[in-house]
Amino acid sequence: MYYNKFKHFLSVLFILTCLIANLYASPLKVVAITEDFASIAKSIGGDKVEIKSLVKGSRNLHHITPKPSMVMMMRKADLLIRLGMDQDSWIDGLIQVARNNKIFFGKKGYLDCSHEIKKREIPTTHINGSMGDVHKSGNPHYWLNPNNGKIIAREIKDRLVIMDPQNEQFYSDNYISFSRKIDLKLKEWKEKIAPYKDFQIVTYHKVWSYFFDVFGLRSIGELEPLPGIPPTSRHLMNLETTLKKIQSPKLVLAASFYPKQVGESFSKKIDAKYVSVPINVGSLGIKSYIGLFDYLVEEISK
Amino acid sequence: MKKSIMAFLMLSISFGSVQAQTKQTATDLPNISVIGNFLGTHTKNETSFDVKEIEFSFQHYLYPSVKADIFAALHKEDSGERHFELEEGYITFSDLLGVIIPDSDLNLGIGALVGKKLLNVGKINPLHPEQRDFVNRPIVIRQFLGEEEGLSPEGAQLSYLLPFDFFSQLEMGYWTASSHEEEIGEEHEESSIEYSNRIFNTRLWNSFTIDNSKELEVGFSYVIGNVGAAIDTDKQTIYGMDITYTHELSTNQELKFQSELYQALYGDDGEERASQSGGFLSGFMKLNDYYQTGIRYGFLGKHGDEGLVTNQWSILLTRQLTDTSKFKIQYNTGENVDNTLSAQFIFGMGPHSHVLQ
Repeated sequence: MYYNKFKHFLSVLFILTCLIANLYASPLKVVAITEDFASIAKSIGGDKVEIKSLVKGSRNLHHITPKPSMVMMMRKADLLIRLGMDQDSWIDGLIQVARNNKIFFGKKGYLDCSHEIKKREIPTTHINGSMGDVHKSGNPHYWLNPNNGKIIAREIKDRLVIMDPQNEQFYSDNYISFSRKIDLKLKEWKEKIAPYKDFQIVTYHKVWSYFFDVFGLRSIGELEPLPGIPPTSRHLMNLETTLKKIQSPKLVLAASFYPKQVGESFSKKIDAKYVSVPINVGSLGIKSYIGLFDYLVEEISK
Repeated sequence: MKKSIMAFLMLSISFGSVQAQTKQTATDLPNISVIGNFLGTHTKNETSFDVKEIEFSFQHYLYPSVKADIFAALHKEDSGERHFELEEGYITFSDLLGVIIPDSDLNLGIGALVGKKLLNVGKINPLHPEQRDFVNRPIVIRQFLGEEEGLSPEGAQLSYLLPFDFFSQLEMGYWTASSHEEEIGEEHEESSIEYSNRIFNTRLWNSFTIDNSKELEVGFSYVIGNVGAAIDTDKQTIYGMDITYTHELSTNQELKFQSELYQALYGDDGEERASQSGGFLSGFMKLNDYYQTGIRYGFLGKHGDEGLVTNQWSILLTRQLTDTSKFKIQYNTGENVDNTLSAQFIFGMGPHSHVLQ
């Protein structure tokens, strides 16, 4: 009799403990390289995750200076979300100093989102500095294709499920919801940008390959003579000569961290529209990954 | 010596070839890189051009939290001779407990480093030439921590991130001195403050985030040379403080102010200890992704009652070609130093990285 009562008491105590533990469970601490990845992680993790990003706003990821404050974020992280493709190798030095064994390479808390991405512009020959700053792993700006955003979301969902299996349904539902939103929005974005498929587009740097791929846009050249090499007068003159022969409308498109003066003056010379926009969440009031594409499509199409 | 150099170069070239041929396939080769440092100087009495240093680096993870870094270099000495030497060669254990007990989820945050390493004293001494803002090291660092090559002893170091809300790392090391040596004819010269026997060093490195674009780092360093000496007057001691303030002005512009102050106490066979102090203050501005400029004032006091007070002004312009390749022009002038115009080209080939310093 007493034994049964004691058993029931223990069962109730166990359930209560689980409920309280669940109620007060601290969210998973996630550190993402940029606010784009942080935004996607937030869409999947909701209030079950606490997210910080190492790089704020739209920045040229080629020129990031690692700082001790970044170490502090990584020191307590349960999950580190990387861009990968050798673009964020500066994170390796931070992992070494943070000495957080949860986010070492190969651990559950280490996620390189580039693995499942269909990469563009992977060099097929031996590369060296004479070709400019060519990335041996391909063009790393893959988050600029919303379909890749869904792949990033799936990678994050799968990892969160491994780390926090109790909330598998929550993460899966959020992933489905995020993917549907992207699919719906993609139709809207494609419609808005469709008139620009006939435009001859010049970009500052090869930032837009993935974006152009999904929206069917065409690049006919870059202001940089080679990747990472600043525009030269001779190159701009040659480009101008080529473009003036083309009758179709033209657009000069640049990420906002590149010098505006060069793009603006060149666009005037070829009678083109000039658009300088951030390519990451966090700048100019862009608060989410979907908001980034809303902004980009609006700026290009207005 | 020549044989060892040739063997080393052949090995590097063959590794490089293999890596190139197997570019798209998985390999277990280390990251191999070459850093070149070409330096031209002009003074009233002398004009010179030197291939100052060619550095070969090999970096590789041995285990998930264990990394090996080897930096070997061909140096051109003031005598004109070239010496091939190990600049740094160390193993870093980022999770010491995890290596000893692989099953442990306990995260003590204690790191260890074993080998030969540029001593973590202040912010400048641990840096390689391609990481430095200026062409040369400040006069105080050259005096106290081994000319341009830096103080790179052999031993071990423990690091611990203190459990504060701000970045605070404590480092302690115990080393055998191996200051840079140069042979000129029959003479055998030491080009830095003399560290005999063992060295103990400790550094507390703090960083405070002011806001998203501003960060302030404050460090304290302490070095004892000949630490095992029975009497205090046989030891060499350095006290140092460093301050670095960085402000990101825009996405591709950055301002950095940096200062290091040192006081050294020299032990000399039981005599009263002589002291010497010095420091520098520098301002460095990244104008855009391609150009940087800087100004630095450095000073060094007398060694006890001997020698002269020295100060030096330096102005710098840098053209950045890639992350590791840059061209610098620097002019130095001051009291009791030669007016010098320096042109330096530093280039890097291959994957190369350094831990946050």
